[in-house]
Amino acid sequence: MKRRGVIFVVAFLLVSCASITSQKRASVPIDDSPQQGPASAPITVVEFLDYT
Amino acid sequence: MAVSSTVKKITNEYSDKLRLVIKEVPYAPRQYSVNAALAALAAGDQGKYWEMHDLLFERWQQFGEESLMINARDLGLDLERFNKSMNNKKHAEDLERNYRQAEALHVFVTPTFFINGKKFDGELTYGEFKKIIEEELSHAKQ
Repeated sequence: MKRRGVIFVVAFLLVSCASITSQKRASVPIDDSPQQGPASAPITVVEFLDYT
Repeated sequence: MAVSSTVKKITNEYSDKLRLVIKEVPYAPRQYSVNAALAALAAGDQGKYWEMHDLLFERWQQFGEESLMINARDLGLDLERFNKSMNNKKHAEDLERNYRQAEALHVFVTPTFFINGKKFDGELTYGEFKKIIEEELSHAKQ
């Protein structure tokens, strides 16, 4: 019984973490916006800015 | 100014691992703010986007039409072409697109960064930036 409880908790945490991670990542269109650096780079930083 | 310096430092440090994409979302009621963004995009038509981008931060608060023309001249741009782009608001649609994307992504402050899709509102220090990037790189390796 105790073991089933542990399995349930672990499963719940895994599902929760996966859910949180997916919520945190947005799909930001790149289109023809100004960009520098390799297109295949492992890191893409999109900056929304105002010069003033 | 400080933010731009931080981004520049980070992009230089991770030049082979990082792609930087800029979305201008000027504060629409301030015409000079819109003009600064249009000037950067107009310079981009002549292959000098990043140079103008840097100048706009270096010469911060100098966004009058005359100041933007001085920037264009100092960068060696074709001034007639630059002027035409500014007067015709050639890149106004690009800004409209950016506003729509910002709204859809709940961007309410500038700067806002998306680092591999993760959203960060407001300025990031060099240390914060580096930590996030190192975490993303370690995920990429897994």
